[in-house]
Amino acid sequence: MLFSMKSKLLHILFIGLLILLSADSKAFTQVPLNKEISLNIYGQEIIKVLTILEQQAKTSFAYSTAELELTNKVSIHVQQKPLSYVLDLLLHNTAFTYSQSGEVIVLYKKPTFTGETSNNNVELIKSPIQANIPPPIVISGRILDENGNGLSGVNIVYKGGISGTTSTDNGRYSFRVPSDAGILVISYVGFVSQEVAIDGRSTINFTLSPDAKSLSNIVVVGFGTQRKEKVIGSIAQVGAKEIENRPVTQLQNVLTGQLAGVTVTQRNGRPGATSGAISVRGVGSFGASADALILVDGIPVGGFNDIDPNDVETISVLKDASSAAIYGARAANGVILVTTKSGKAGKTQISYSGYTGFQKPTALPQFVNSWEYQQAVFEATNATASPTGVATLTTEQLAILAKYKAQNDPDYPNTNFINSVITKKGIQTGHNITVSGGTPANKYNLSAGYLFQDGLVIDNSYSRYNVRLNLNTVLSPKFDLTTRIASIVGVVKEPYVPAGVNQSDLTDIIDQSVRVPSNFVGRYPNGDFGLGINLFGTPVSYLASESFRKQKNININGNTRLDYKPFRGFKTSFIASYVQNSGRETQFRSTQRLNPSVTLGPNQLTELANNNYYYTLQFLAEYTKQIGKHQLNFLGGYSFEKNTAENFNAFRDNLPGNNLTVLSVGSPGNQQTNGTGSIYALESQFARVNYSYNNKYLFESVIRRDGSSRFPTNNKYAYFPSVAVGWRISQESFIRDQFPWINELKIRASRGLLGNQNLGNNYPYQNTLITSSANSGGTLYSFGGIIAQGVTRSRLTDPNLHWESTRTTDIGFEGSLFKNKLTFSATYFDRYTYDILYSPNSSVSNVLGFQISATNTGRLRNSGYEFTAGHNNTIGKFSYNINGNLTILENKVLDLGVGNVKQPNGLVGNGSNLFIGYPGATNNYGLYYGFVADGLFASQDDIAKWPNMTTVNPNVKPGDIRYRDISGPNGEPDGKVDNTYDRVVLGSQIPKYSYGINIGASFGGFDFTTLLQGLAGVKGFLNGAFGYALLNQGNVQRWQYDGRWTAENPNANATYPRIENITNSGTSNSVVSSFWVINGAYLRIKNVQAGYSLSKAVLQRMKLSKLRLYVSGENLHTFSHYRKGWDPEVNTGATFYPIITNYTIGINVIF
Amino acid sequence: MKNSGVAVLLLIIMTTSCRKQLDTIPLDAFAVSNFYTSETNAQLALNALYRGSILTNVASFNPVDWWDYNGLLWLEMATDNAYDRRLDNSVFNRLTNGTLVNSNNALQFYWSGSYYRIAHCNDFLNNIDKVPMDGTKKKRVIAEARFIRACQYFYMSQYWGSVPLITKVLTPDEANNVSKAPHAELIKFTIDELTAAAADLPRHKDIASVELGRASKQAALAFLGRAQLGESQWADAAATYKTIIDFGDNNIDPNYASIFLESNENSTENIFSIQFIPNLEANGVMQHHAPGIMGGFDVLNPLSSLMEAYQFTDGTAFSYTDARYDYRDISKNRDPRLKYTLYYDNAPFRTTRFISHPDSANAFDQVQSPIRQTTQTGYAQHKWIDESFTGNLQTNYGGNLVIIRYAEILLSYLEAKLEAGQPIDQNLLDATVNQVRGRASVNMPRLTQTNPTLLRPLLRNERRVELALEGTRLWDLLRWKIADQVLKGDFYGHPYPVSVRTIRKKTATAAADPFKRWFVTTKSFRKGIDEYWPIPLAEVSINPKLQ
Repeated sequence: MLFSMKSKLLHILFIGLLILLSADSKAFTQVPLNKEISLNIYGQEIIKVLTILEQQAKTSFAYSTAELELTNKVSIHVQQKPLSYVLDLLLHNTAFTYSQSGEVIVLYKKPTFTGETSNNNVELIKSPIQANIPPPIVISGRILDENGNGLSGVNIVYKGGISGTTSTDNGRYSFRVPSDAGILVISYVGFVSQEVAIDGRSTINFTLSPDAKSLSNIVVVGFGTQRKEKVIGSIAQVGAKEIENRPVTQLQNVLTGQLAGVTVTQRNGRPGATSGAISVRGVGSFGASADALILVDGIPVGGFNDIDPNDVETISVLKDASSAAIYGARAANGVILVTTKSGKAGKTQISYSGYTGFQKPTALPQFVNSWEYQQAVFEATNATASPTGVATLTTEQLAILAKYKAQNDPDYPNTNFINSVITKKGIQTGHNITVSGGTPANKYNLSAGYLFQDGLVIDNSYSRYNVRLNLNTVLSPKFDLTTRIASIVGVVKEPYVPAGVNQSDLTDIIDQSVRVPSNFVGRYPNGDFGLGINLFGTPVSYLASESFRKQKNININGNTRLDYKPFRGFKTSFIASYVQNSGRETQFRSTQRLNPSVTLGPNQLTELANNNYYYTLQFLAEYTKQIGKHQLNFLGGYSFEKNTAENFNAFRDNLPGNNLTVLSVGSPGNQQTNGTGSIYALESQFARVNYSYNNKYLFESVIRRDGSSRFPTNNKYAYFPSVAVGWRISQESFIRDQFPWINELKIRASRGLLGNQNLGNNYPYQNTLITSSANSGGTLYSFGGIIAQGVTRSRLTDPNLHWESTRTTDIGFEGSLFKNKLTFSATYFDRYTYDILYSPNSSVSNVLGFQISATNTGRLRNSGYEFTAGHNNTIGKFSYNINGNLTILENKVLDLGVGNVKQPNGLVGNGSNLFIGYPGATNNYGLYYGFVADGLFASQDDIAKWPNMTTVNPNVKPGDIRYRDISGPNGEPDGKVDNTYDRVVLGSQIPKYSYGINIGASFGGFDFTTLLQGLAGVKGFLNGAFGYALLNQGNVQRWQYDGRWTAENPNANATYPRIENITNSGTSNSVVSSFWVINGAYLRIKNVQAGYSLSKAVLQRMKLSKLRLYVSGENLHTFSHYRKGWDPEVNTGATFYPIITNYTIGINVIF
Repeated sequence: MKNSGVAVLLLIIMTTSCRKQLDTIPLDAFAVSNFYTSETNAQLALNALYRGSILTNVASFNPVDWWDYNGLLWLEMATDNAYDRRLDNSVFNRLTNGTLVNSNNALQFYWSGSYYRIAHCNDFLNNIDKVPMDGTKKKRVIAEARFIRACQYFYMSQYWGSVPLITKVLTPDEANNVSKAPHAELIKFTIDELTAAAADLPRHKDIASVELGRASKQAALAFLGRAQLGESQWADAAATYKTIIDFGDNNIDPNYASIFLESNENSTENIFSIQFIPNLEANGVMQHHAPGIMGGFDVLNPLSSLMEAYQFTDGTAFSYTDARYDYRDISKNRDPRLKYTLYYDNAPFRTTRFISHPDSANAFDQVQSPIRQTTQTGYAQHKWIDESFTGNLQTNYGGNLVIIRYAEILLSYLEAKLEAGQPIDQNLLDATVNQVRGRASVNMPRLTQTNPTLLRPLLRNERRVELALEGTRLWDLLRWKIADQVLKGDFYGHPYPVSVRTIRKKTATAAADPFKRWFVTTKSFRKGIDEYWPIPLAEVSINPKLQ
């Protein structure tokens, strides 16, 4: 409401009336004046600021447009401050003050000091500020941040008075106060506000500390943090809020869909196992592993999945060269920084989080009944023998089918093996207690957690116990000590297969439950087991055996950092960390009686132990200096890391019985041992300089020199430089003045070089001879019945091996609009990887006769765009937010080096899974190369008309897949379908599009969030028993059976070809073709959470600070065109353990 | 500032000491540069050459090496001797049934296994000169490596005809640009190398008991003979075989069945065997080959065609219409080698019987059981199966795999003489084929046919039954150039004249076999195409010159 009155008198009368009505204005200040306001305004007219305040505080101002100097420009930065505080700031340089009258706040001229205070005197109100003001006192000083840097733009206000100012670029301020006995209020966005008594001083310096509440404005970068507006690298970050209360057992899964450019794939749901990978901006290499570098509290770790999500403060992903280059040699595929929670000074806070729920598979394949399976078998057998391909069943076969259908003979069962194996709706529960607090000099955060995840299979579980203590100690004004100690114990229990069975572990049991058809007996009524395909039993008997696998991993890590600040702006740090992983595993294959004539044995026990020791020493020096508007920060450092791995295993068999399962009881006659070890070390120096001018022009440059033990002497060291520039356009007056609704707008660009040395082998360049007792590739041989060691050179090495390099260019902009209600960013990136560390075995003829160790060969490019957009708003008690991210990626092989073989069809590549111009990835299944299927042959006539397929399928029959004649020796279809000219690239497992959408809302005590996540432009392929019917006498899935081609119904568009027996080596129909390469796109409802927090009033009665109850669901539903019964993330070559859907209820309490 | 000084000093100390730690050496491997320095080390390297790609302690599913049981024995499944239980689409069946394509992955495995051995031998031969050791001993280890390498070229020349001839360690680029050597060049190399190796290898009798398994002069000559037979160099082959016979180190073992088992694996009849021992280097052969009743996968199912090749005990050819034929005991009145080689319905097994009858739904080996992986033909193989063995079939059995034995020498010698047109007389027959037929446990009547034309089929049949399921049948059919006649038409399994369950017929409407044999498969070996294998698809993709 804005009054503009011509009549001065009326105006005065009206204001006077209002003031009369508000006899005791304090009684009314509860509502609007206490409303919390956040503003970030540069040089706006007061009138505009008032408009914003009206909206935020849901109030109206009454004032005279004639008197208030509405066009004066002001800058205000406040974060969650009461409206009264904001008005104090806004009006302190004017002659106005304010008062509340009901829902309206009246702005009026301050009365002059006349000795008597009479607010009722309307005449006085309109008088200008005049005499009787005491002589002004000038206060000056400097305001610094926690690192001793001058802070500009800080508001300093004389409390309750009219005066105030803003600090200049180096943090200096100076202003007049009415009295030297008053109080100064200092406030700045992102920092804790302070009130300081003047106490007669004329120089007062302040150091502001960052406000934990506004941590979202602090971004974790390599070796430190940066305020968000100063960040010019491409960094994506999630905070505790996005991680809390997700019932994930593997930490990486909280990142799925959350961050642009970060793709997390989960291939299976096996409890306690990391399954899948995190790729940052595509797959950066087709040779070396393209895994991101993960650091927990600054210490590189192999994985972070066993960290309790409750311990995590932030997870920050460094994506471009400028942000990641500080980690140089290993940063090419992104860097993930996990920061664990630290204590906060103050009252001891005890919080508890817990959830419990159950889980089930996201999808399970459906199989046909035994009589349908048998029908398929007969069809396949008969059609093979029949010259016409017609599979007429004999009377005997029909009789067998009838027996299966009748289901009254235990030898003709209908067993659903997958449902006999995946039997449980496993319980999952997680608990965490955190105690945090301390004095400013001694802060602590102690957290203890427990997780239990039941498997979907009996006797299968994962338990995790973790404890973490983070201490921040101020030893003296110059020394700070940070100590982090954590220990994580994980225990995996799984069923195992009995002795003699060709398969081994749990995933094999599940694979077998996919393979073994329903016409095998699981268990007879008398307790005997069915003998299965190979007379070793079935998954049902495997699970009933006393075999087991138990794995225990203990991770202990200590991380300590000593900071020394000899003088202002300079800090040195010494960091030392030690991480030990110890694993112990027992594999026991029991004897098992299947029936009176078959007993499996002898039993076998294998004990495995492995240890991994890692330590790092780091030395950092950091110097910050501000000269006028120039702000400079320099960081230099040195680090050394060394990792030693060792393993040992021992075996015995013929244990008496299955109860005692330690080595000493086994037969001494066949005891075997094995063990080995390896070491790698890295040494690095690095430096970073940050420069900014007037908080407007930002510059950053990094150089890192890395040395690795994995490279030969001459190539051990390499330099990885980067440079980045940023421009905060929103700080320019032409934006500030013209587009006040632009809160922040920044353009940034960076370019740099990053490295990769992720080789599976620690000695890749060394020319060695190995000895091996393995079954495959073994070198043992016996003469005269005496075993002898053998030694062989197994691989050819490259003596000139050196670093794989990725040159990354990154250009983007980001900003926020409309009081930060709308945020957005867009980034283009280009990652050009060269000297790829690749073992080109699949590109080199086997005529070579050796495996090839990694060599620097090939080039690859990942380029694309990342977009994020967010909106948040509050309407009354209702507030909501929606954030989306989208990554568009193009992954392309540019050069294969050794593998550049020009194929007769014009493609250049290895002829199977790597081609120039197409995506490439480390594993063998990045790319699908095969025939283009064009339906099925309907008849012999159809076959006769089709191009000759004999080199692919020498005996084409109706119901076989028709492959298109794509080309020929002359570059055009030659009337023949063959491997040489008619295979094309059919797609890739690397997704072109990945996206996530986060939606949150709250109303009063209720809150709701959901995360949607998906991929598009991606292909999948279910091979083996997952994709083919009757593979090695394996099972038939419902979609295969129902969709199969038959002679009776020769449908050229049937979804499965004629049923045939397929061996492990495949058939002409099972070769890679577009018939099997399927659309892997999906959209998943990844997480939904709804909670209720008790109101303050109730909490006070319960003597609690916070109590929230919630229900949550993970992987609730997936939309896809994938094969029925299969999760689209389950892909070629995968180990099968269904991905899991969770339903949980949980509680968060703060005492 | 004093503190800073200390810090800088510490940093310098730390930096210099850490830098040295970047020079790491493998903890579990030997450096090539200082390995070939002693006789002991040379022997370690030679041991690995014998091993090649052979898989141990497992049921190995792929033919990774010519001398692995599935590389050697499974070639029988591409012949008229046996059928691959994994049905018509199995890669072995498809080698010769008229559907061979270059993506058949058995080809890639044989190819890779051969060049693995060749490359490692080349590397060994390249380095062995450096080793200070006794001249005779050095000659011997060189000869052993050359023998192993030459054997690879023998196999490749026989099955592919023409492949690249590699005699040194290649670079990856070189490997991708090799060309095929003409067949004649391969053969010349093979023959020259085997001849040279034979000169330096010790005789069979001179191999110490702790060295059993190492190549002998006879082993090299035996492969030389094979190479000469394969090239129809009859006179040369005859001379080679004559040399072996004249050494007199080897003889025919009276006990036919035992020479394929662990108990008698060191019989002097066995000229060269791949060595296995229990537990540490176990032979998984029984896992794949044993019948269901023994817990084996029963992957190699003999065909009736083989069963029919065994004569009646008087030396006359088998006939279903002969009164001596008894379907209830097929081995009755037959060459005893039948029962040593095959399990047939109702054959004795341990204290019980091997039952494959179609009506025997509860038997472990019911022919083509609808619910188990069982024999597709009604037969299982007996040769190589040690009934006395108990334990884990994959990890506990130590029986050797016999690559070449003296019986083949005698039969090949006779064949070489016959094809060379040299005179055949009874003495020659008695010194060769009749030794084989006359061993105590076989005791078949002597052959007396000296007319070469009439003797040839008898000799070929003798060779078939004597060497059945030992991995030589396919090579014999190819070099005799009769594969297109033999591997054509319908193949049958066991006869079951009396059964309730219907005998499997070719189609539902086809007439049943007159002898009530179980129908198995149809082959149509393509003359002019299937005699030589195509170069594997993956190799052609990488190096189109090999097309």
